[in-house]
Amino acid sequence: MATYIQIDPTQKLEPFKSVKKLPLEEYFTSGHRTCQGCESALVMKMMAKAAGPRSIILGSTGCMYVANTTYYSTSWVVPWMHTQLGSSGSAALGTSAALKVLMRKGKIKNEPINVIAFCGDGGGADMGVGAISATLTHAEYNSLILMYDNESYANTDIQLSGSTPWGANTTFSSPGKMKRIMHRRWKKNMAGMMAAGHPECKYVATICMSYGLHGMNSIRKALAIGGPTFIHSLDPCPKGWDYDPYLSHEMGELAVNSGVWPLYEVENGVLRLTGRTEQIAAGKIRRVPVRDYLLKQGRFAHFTNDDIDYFQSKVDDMWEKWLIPGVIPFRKDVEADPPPAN
Amino acid sequence: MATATYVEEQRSIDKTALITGSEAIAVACKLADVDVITAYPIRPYDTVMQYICKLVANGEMDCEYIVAEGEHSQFEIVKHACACGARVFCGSSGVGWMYAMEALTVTPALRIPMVAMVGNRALDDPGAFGVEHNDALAVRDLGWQLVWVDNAQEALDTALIAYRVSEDRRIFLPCAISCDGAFLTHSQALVKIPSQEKVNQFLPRYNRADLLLHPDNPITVAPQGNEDWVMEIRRQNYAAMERSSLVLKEAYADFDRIFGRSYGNPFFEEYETDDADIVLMGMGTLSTPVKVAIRQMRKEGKRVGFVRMRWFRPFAAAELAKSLGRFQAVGVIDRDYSFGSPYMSGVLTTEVRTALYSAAGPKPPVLGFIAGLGGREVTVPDVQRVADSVYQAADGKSQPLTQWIGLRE
Amino acid sequence: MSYTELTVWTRGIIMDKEGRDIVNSVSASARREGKHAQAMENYVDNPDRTNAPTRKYCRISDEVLENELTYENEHPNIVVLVEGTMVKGWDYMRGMPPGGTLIINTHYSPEYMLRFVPGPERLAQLVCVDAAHLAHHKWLYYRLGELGLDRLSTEGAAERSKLIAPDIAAPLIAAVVKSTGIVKMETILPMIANKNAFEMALSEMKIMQFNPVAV
Repeated sequence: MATYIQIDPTQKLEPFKSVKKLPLEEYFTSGHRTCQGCESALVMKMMAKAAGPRSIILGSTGCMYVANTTYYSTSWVVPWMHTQLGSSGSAALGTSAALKVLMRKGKIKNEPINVIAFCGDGGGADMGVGAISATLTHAEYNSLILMYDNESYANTDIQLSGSTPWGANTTFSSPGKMKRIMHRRWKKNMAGMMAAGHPECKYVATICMSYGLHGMNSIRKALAIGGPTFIHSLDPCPKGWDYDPYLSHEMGELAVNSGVWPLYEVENGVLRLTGRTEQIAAGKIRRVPVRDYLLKQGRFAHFTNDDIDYFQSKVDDMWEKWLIPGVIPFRKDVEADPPPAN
Repeated sequence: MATATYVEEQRSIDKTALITGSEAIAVACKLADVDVITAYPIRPYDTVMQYICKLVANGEMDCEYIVAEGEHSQFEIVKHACACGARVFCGSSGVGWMYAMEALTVTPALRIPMVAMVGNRALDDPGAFGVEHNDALAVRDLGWQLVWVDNAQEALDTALIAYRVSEDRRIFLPCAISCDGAFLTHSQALVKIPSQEKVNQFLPRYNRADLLLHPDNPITVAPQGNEDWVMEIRRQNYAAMERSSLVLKEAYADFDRIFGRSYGNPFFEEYETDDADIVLMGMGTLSTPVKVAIRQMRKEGKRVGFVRMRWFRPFAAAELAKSLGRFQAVGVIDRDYSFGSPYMSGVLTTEVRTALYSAAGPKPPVLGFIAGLGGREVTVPDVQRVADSVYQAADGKSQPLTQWIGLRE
Repeated sequence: MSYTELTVWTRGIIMDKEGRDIVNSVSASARREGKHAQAMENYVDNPDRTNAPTRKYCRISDEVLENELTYENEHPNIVVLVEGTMVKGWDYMRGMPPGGTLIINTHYSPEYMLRFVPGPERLAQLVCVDAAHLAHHKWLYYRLGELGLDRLSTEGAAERSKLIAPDIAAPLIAAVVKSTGIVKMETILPMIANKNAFEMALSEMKIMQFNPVAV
């Protein structure tokens, strides 16, 4: 059969075998001013380490732009360029297209170069979703779009985004005397949407850097597989989630173990639950109650037992009633979804 | 508009073709060996992308031709491609251009030498396909070099000059070539298409130099600047725009030398000004009815001239003031509006007044006329009415500073 | 000074290229004959819609065209209807100076068609040519899809082929040139792709002459 899509060769990026076998070189180093306990900065560091030196990284506006790069003090060892809030998809596409054509015309040396564009949940799930979606349909341009999701516009002032969980207290949804739950939208299912809507995209994954090796190997797989790929990373954020920074790692583990954040990858269209999520789905371990996850965070401190029950029921639905548990929200049965008592 | 694209004459290796303004720019992109092009539909500019698509499909042009999902992405994609050393082309019209506004803002700020075509179109609402210059003028303060052309030949030539000037390391600023919707984008003219050899001689390869984004040159582009550095960076852009006039002159001189086609003063074209009492001014295809009207008025003994602004940014204020100082009064016809501006005048009028105000030497009165909005035809009688009013002002009679011409009362 | 306006009424998408080919080829021939000429489409009829009327214009003059930026032909000397039923429904004769020519693509006779023409007293001649038949075009009204020669040719930028008048435009061009002498036969013929239909139309077209009307 004829080949219609010319995918350029990618770098050979074997999975890291263990933490002890990681390379020592860092490509995201000191010089930034992110929060103590910032998981997103950890994502940047591990992403750069996983990608290696022959990479170009594009960053859309957000914490990982404003806090990471101050004029005359960059933490990036690899080439890095700012892109606009809703442009991570376009940045990846434009950079990859330039490399492709310049190499084809012999204007630069022909070699595989990783192109990574990252965005926050505001830039990805809200403003830039159109551009990311378009890029994932351009199958001949190698790139990775990584969405670091700390569940709010934490860079500006912790405002709610389309990725903020139901009921959370943000500066745009702070509870008052009359209304306790100001944020009544359920979190967007970004990775599922990207996987389901883009059949030419060869790799979509969810990660959480509390499971660092898993996250880095997902990134390496996304870069090596060719074509546009998407990774959605859940990043606990001490500033936006309101908890003690030493709990960042544990918060990520709780998100996965409570079933709020399922880990999975869709590789060449094949879905595979990964890490702890795989064990939960197989019934090897039980899900931790979401109460344990929610009540460790100040942003849910105003929740009543009813609110927590509602949250739990929605997470239970995700695991028990979704056609593909935790991934695609099509229901097995027709059923009305009663609104919560206010 | 389709074309009977036959080769009129096969003299030497240059050839002549009957093509539209849009196709002329498409041909320029091919001659300039553009690397990355992004398209998104909006009339009237989008015909250029249809021609380019054909060129790519026919193997006459090798580039990445990407259809974006919106103008914002369209301009962002080429912006990033250009940062990696690719020569890029893009374009839009009317509200599409405005939709890309964020990308248009950062492009000059990042010193990206993008060349874009604006098929000038009225802004919504209500929707109109016709020409109005407010779309391109929206970026006039941001560091875009802005040029208005009035025929297909000039469109092709100016596109080549735009690449040469924008990609000069002393400049590295984007350039928007404005073509009046319908009148230029969709009408045919005989265009001399230069040979590839001459174009190669005129247009060096784009070299991003020390600003190249590549693993061999691991720089960080556009880190957060704030109050301690942004002002110095703005000043660099200011200096680049200041140098643009000089580099433009060099480019036009070289263009004349290599292609044998001279545009005289690069910044504005003067028509019948040598003995003129008064002059009219305008941009783009307005020149056609104005020149016809001037020929008629001259038969009646009225000595009227015309100054067509070609480059709006950089604005050749000193040269323009020197030229306009020769006349008794100036009438500027704006195909745009600027509600609430000084004397409620159009954009060009206000700029011309500013240029004259600070100049040494005589300062003739400047009357502003708003005409041809939404693509309405500016007729020869319209131009004669304008000239009559300017004559009154020249005689010292009081005239309104802003008048709407061709308006249904 | 001689100045001639030619207006072609055609139907969007399905016969768009045909209409465009007429004005383009006539204008190009006039240029070759050393005249000043211009071909263009009605800007606001575009983007054209399937079967909706759309206009194409041509202007030819001995001198520089001073109205080349005027959107519409205000006084067409020659009007072509690329599709026969367009004869009813709107005033394509508007602005025509006395002594004009109307050319219709139809299998009916000029005598029959005359009853539908608004303001026929301005005509010097009415020409009917069965272009669809001569070009062997599938002329099936209930299957519009088969009418489209080049549906992507809208606004002309993405025409599938550079051929001029491979189809029903050829007989219509023949009718224009023969009945009005607007350009010379020998300059336009080399451009026409469907020479067979062009030459057949020269003998098969039906011309109805009127007495000159006093102005």
